[in-house]
Amino acid sequence: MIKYCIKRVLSIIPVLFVISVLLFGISKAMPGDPVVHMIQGVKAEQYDQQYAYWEERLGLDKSLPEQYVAWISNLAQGELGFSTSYNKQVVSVIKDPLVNTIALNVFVLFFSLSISIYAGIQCAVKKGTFVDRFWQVFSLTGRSVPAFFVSMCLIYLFAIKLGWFPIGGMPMQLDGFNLLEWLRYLVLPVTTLTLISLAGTIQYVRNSMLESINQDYIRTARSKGLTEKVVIYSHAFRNALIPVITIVISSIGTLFTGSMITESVFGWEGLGTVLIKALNSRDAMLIIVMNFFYAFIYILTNFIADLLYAVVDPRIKLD
Amino acid sequence: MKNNNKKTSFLGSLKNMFNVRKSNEVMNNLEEEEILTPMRVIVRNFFANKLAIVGIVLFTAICVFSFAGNAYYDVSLTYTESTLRNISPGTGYLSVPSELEENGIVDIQSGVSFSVGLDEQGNIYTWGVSTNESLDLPEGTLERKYSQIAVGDRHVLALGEDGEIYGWGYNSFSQSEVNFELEQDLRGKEIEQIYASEAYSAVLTTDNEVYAWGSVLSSKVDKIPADIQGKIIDVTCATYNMLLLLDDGTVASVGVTGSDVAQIPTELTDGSVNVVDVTMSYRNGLALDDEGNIHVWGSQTHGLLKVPEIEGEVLQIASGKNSLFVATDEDIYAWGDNSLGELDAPTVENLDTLFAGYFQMYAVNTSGEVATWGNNGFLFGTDEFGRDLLKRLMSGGTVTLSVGVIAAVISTFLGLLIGMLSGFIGGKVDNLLMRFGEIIMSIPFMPIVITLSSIVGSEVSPSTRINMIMVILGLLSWPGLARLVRGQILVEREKDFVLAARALGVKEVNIVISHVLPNVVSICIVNMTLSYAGFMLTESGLSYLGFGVANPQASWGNMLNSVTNSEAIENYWWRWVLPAMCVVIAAIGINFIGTALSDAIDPKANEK
Repeated sequence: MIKYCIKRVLSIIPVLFVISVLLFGISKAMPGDPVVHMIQGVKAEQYDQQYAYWEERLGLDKSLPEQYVAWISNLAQGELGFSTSYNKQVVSVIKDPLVNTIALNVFVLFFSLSISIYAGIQCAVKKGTFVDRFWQVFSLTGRSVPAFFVSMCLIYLFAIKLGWFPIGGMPMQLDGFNLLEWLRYLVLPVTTLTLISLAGTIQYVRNSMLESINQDYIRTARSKGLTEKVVIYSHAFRNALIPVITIVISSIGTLFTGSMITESVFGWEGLGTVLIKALNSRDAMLIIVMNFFYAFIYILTNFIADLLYAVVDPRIKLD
Repeated sequence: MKNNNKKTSFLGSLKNMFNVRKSNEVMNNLEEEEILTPMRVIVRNFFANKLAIVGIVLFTAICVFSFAGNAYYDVSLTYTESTLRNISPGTGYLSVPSELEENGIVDIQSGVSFSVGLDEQGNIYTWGVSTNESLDLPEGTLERKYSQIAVGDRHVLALGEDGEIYGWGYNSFSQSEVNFELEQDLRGKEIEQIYASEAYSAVLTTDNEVYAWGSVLSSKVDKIPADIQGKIIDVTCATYNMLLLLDDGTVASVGVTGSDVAQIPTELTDGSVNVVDVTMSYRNGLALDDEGNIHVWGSQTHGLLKVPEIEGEVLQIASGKNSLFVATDEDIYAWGDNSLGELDAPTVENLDTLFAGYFQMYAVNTSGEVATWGNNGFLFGTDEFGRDLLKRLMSGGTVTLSVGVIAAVISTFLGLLIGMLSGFIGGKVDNLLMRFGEIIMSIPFMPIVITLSSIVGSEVSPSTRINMIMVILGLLSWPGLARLVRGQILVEREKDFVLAARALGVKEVNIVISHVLPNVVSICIVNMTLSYAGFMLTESGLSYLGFGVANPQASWGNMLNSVTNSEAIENYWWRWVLPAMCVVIAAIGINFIGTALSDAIDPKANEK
């Protein structure tokens, strides 16, 4: 087990290295000079001096390999770099949006998992009935509807026509943090993302559950005279859970990456909004750091998923 | 399974797949069972699935709508007409009420999407599509009698027989109501004629004075010079200027001084010809003198200065937004822009009067019958630039559907190629390719696609940008399929028929192409279909955020790009519901086909 962990961690390093080189290359291929963007509006007599100052401060006067080494060693030390569009450290730019995105996606993960596990089991148990067909059509349709359309429909219905929830944006926090108000702003984005993600996960739970229901041990359990509830939930579902863990873990990745489209429709100030803003203002450092961060989270969660497999299923041997 | 099937080439299996082999004999169950190749089983299963049929119908319908529609209409991407912005779906702009025709037409005036008629008994009639509440008549409007009507772009004025001015419709600049200041000006004066234009209105009094109100701050059409005030006998108005016909037979202009239409030819201002009628389109003037000659001036756009040869005695002149008309005793001559069929004037015998306004034209003959031409409406409404949404949807459909399919082809081709190389060569090549695939897969898709397309697409033309997006989508999404293909090949290559082929001395390349490839083709096709739907949704999302297909090129996603505020979501539902519905229909169609295909190739489904 420990040997496996060490092996996996070591294999992650070259992957991260290649990704960092790729992303660094992309950032350098971006048109436009970040220094020019930064010192817009500086007086002509100070321009050259300011340009040289910022070029040196951002480390752009060195050669590309040197810049890369400087960037990656800073990154390894936890220094994420300097955002030219916000004019502050990347860490402080993404701190609040990160919290917002995580908050949004924790709710989504919770609702989408509880609904899809329940519905998936129902579909598998009642295969071929109306319930099954309803969720099948639901998930097929759900896979075909763009997120922005779901968001807009919800805005139209619940924010404009009924006025129950705000149209979008972030709650004002003038007099301290108001949980209820904050939750009101979350309802519509959470609903959108839950509906979208349900489409895939229900299908996944259903298939994995169907596989396990047809196994011999289920027949054995039934022949022992166990109640259907016990058979389904404690024999079939626990075995079906193993593949489900994959989607749970990979959803944790999306906790951080967030949904750019939904966030942008609702004006939720999460990481997606920050990335869009960074792209519009060609903030190279912020863009590559965010992409690198996403990739890192993805690799990390995959690694954890592999480990968890072994934990929940003793039959799986890692080596 | 008979062995001769294995000899079939890739093409042969493709033929089988599409069921082109002839088999006319009636077979019993046993024989049929024996003869069916795997591909035929797939095809049979596929077409037995209702989901597949629904999917094919939906997808074919949306393809025909986009590609055939786009070819039929020959959509001009750069066309915009801001006066037609945000008109809700509807037609019947030219459906003159029969009651009006029977009662005798006195006047018909048109706005951007509606017309108002006045009959001989003083009743008013409205038809067309209401824009900015232009057809929401205030209570009691229809009970009154009127002597005159005037219609602007989105508002209506009517002069009651009691001498009061009634107005309704777009009122942001209070153009459809008489305000207090104006009431002071008009006190003790009698109204001769009322006029309305884009967001402003004007009256001509019996003292030959003109007063304008509404959106006049920038154009200053309300500033009538003192030396002509009191001499005005007729007015014609458009957005930036009013042309005034004076009692000495000359023409004067008020409003924006630098505009094309303000440069009136000198013969019309120095009194050398005696003008009897004047009319103006958006930026052109048309005048008729007492000798029956016509004079045109103004902007060169839409060929409005290219007057056709006019024969016969001129009866009347008229103008639309981008078109000019001259009616003679022989024919109606029209020139200018024909985007909405404004110039398709029919031949009218015994023409009495010609009514033209914006894009709707009416010709009434002496027996009171109406012939109409021009814009009969927009079935799906218009967008914020006044473009016909129907045409935009068709043109956007061709882009969205083809971006998806080409991206799917690229990614499937790469996935197949790399998966096969990996599976067959094995060893270091396999390791390297699979690691590379893993690296690509571990960068989250949407952020990196947006990043790349905003970098690559920023300095190229909109049409090159579309190609870039296809390539980016394709290049980033092959690893999943490559893994599948590699896995499948590792299974297939160990099978006996491959061993047999190898023992017969068949070259490795030929083994791959004619023995292994047909066995992975079905996975590829399913994968391609399902990823097609995914790419379409990705492209739409990308374009919605503004990082995908860029204006003036249309795509279903970027049509929603401008619907960013709650006002647009609430008031202009057609601008976001219709493009999104197209995406949904196409994606549902493709997903149904893909799901049915994957069910059809699933060996478990074939068990009896």
